[in-house]
Amino acid sequence: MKVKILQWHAVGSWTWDAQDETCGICRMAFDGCCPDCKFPGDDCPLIWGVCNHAYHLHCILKWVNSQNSTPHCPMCRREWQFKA
Amino acid sequence: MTSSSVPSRKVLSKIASNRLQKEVMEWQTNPPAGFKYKVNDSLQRWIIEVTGAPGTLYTGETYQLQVDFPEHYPMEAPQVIFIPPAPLHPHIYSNGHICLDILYDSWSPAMTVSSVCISILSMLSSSPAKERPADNDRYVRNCRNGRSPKETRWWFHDDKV
Amino acid sequence: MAMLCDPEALDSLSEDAIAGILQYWAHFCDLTDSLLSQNVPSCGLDSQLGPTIATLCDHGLASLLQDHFLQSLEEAFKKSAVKKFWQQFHSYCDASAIEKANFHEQDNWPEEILSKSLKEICSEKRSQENCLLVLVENLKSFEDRIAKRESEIEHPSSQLMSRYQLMASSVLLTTLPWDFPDILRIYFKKKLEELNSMIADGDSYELEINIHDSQNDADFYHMDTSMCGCNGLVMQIGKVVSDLRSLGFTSMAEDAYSFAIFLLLKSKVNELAGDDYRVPVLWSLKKWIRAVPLQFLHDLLGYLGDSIEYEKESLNVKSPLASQPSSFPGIGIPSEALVRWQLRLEYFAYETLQDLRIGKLFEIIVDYPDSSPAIEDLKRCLEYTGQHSKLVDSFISSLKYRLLTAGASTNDILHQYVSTIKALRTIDPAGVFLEAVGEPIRDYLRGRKDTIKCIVTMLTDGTGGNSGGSGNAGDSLLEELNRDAENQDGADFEEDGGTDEKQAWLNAERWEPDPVEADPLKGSRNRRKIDILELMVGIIGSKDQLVNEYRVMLAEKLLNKSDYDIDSEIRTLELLKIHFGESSMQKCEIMLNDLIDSKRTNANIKATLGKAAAPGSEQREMNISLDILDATIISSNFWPPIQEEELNIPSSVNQLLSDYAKRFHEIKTPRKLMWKKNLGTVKLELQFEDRSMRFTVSPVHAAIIMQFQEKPSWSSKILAAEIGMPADTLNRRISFWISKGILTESAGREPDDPSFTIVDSMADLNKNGLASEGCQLMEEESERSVASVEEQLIKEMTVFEKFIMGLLTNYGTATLDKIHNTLKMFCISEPTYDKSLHQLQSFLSDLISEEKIEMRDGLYSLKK
Repeated sequence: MKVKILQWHAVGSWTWDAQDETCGICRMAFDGCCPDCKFPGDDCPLIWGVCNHAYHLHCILKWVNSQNSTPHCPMCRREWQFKA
Repeated sequence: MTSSSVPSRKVLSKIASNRLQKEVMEWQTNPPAGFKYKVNDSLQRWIIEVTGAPGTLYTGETYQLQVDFPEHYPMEAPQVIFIPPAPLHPHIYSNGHICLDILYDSWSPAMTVSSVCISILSMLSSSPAKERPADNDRYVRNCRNGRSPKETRWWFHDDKV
Repeated sequence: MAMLCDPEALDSLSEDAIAGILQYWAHFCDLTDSLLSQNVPSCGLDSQLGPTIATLCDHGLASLLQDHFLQSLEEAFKKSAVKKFWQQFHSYCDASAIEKANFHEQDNWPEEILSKSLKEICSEKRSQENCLLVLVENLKSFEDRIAKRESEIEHPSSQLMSRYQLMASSVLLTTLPWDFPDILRIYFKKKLEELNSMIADGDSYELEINIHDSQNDADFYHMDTSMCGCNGLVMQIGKVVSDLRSLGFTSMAEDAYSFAIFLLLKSKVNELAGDDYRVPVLWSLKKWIRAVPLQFLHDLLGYLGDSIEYEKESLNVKSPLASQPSSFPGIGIPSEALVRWQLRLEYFAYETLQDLRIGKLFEIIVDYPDSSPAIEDLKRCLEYTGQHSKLVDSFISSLKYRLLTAGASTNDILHQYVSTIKALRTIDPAGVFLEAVGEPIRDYLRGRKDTIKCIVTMLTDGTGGNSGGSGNAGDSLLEELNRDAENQDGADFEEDGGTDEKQAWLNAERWEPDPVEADPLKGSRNRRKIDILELMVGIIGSKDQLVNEYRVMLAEKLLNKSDYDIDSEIRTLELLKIHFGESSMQKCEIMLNDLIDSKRTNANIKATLGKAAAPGSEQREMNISLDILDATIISSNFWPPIQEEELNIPSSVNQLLSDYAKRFHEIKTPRKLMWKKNLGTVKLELQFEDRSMRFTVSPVHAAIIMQFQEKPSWSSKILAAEIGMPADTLNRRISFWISKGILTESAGREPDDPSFTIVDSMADLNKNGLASEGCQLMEEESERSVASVEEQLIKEMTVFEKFIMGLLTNYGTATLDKIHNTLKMFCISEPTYDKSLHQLQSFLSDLISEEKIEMRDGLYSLKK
């Protein structure tokens, strides 16, 4: 007997593969989305700082924009710079 | 300065209420030692009971903290004060205002009510003497029109206490 | 002077005079006797009677002689006529119940006896009346003489006739056998049946069902003044009635024929209504009432001469059924009596039909919507009789007896509930009775564990068109959602157009008060709208639970798709969003969005990877290319918990998967793709020497069968190790291939280690007694891809448990409500607290039995 595979429809899940489970700002799961977003994934991406801390892009932008002085990373208080 | 002690009672933003719900859940399942949060009907103002840690000047004493959350929490710090009578402490004014950097300039959205509470308790615990700040009377007089501590330009005395 | 009425005057008379008078009196008595015995007054008697009466009256004995005469009449009437009359019926009256039944069977009974004996006694009575008339005449002439002398005089003779009538009927009534009324009833019943069949046979009554209920149609009221052949029969009956009337049995006769008419009407209702609910009967029933009983009554009253009173007042008695005063074009203006009869008959017909339909309402609803004509009829009946509460009581009891029992499947109950909602919506658009009737069903369904699941299946299965099994409630439930969506569109449109004042006025005019059964707490009918989905949610208690169950079912469905076709799911979701709000359906929307994204990503990855991939020698060998691989990539945070199972899939496929995942990472950096290898669907073809078969199976089944390419026979333990799953799981899952006749199981070397062997040729297959079921078999998937709601519930509850324990630590004690409300307020995400009070209570009881908490006086606290 031979088995010929006609179609293999697999199931997988994606993950941001961040060290933490949740965003330090909104406390929502990284693999979820920030409270202002409707859909996770492409619509609500993660962003890393040079300090290697990750946040929802929308969350960290809110924080950075709310700071008058040089913004720092909410976790480690180092100066916040987006990691390329 | 024209503002009241009651922070602008705007409805919490979505991110704020979401986060606060999470914090309530976290608190309920893992409350910080020495604190009791009395659940009431409002997410926006928490009343927390603090008990002085054993082996400190405040052992067995209980005080009440009032935590008010701004619309854009956690981008903005919560307003945290002691409900008078406030503990006698070199950084705590008799009107309940607390001189603690993380409540003002050093606030970070990664902090939580729980972590703020722990900071306050450690500030109490490390107090060398039960006394009011030197400028207590002047400050309290200035705040008489109901000013929020968040309006104060704090000059943080020292990092040791 | 009191000459006519003063017998005491005799006291003043002399002996001689008295003797003379006595002689006269004796003579009068003789004359009376002979008059009565002759039965025919002759001239000779008459001439003798005159002077005798005059003389006696002169002596003031008028009343005495009248009394005597009447008494003699009574005597004679009793002796001859009455005795003879009742004797006719002795045989019936003395008979036992069984014998009586035989009488009823006899064709001519009691017609012949009754009409004959009535005729006899009436003629007897008439001749007595004639005799009495002779006396009256004589008295009159005497009175006339007196009247010339006396101005004030009474005419007692004028009362004689009515005294006689009273005497005659009281004699009859006091001797009446107790079942004479029965005899009359039987008589009328038989006669009316005869009449009915005559009319039914003839052309004057056509049973043609006119669906358009045009009550003002002149034809409807058409009555022939002459009923051709029936006329003779009506005359016969009329004769009997008038004879009975003349004997003073007026009301007894009317009772009897009324009884017979209602009996006939009742059997007509039963005959027309029957067990066929697909035909409206009200119209033909009303037609029949006019054609038979009303026509009969019209003719009868006409015969009796008291029918056609051209009274204008009769028009005031309106039939509530006719929007205009009833008119009988054939016979002009109906008498008031006839209109009253019509009202009575129609009311009775409505009530009878209503009772009949209510009694069978359960069956009618089972047949709904085929049975909608019966429902329409019932609606009209109830509008007329107003006996809605009868319906409610009866239906509830039949529900309890027939539906809400352990034997009925939840699905059946739900189907019946949906049909009930739909059927009762016709009868009662405000939903007042539905509330009452639905409550026991809802209560019962709440106690069933699979209720939510069944409801969700009803919701979702309609879309795929693969709703196997009974009924099509799934379709109709979805249809319901569709309809509501359309209604909403319509409403929006109307609002845009703006309702003008005229419309507002029309609406106001259409307002009707709520039926008395309405629960004042439930709001008025304007605010109430029967929404089937709402009622379904009402069973479950919270929409969140329904949404949750829907999500699990949706996940299961989506994870087993081998294409990305989700059009129907999108449609359903849109409808559910309208009902439950967008935020409730957020997760489901993300799930569907994942499918859309997956389709795009899949195409992207395959297009770029296909070019990039070096023609791997291994893949070529195995004859597997990327073409066969598709993937659904989910945002697992928004899906119900996935059931993960260890599985080593064939290395060729595994290689494809890791290539695919690598490409995903390249495209979506820094996102990574993690396979859930046990999930998905595999279409494969098993190629044997003499045949090939196609299957659509789970990856586990594919992995199992692919192992048999290398080796035709495997021991359970070795195969399990190869595939990377526990042996008992393998043994369970491999049974699929055994059931298909592809593998056989045989005892292995060790008792708990059977071995499996491929069945290589058809010959072997047939030997095993298993027929090939051809290709493209869908397997009945018993393993689920996602955790069931119950499993999730347990998981969630452990989170809430912590919360509850924390809460009780803070509060000391709390009531059920307090805990519920606190959970509701604070646990609105991850996991959301969506439990009902009841669910919470049972969870708390679990905690009590685990001795974690305790409850006293309704207050929960931590166990000390």
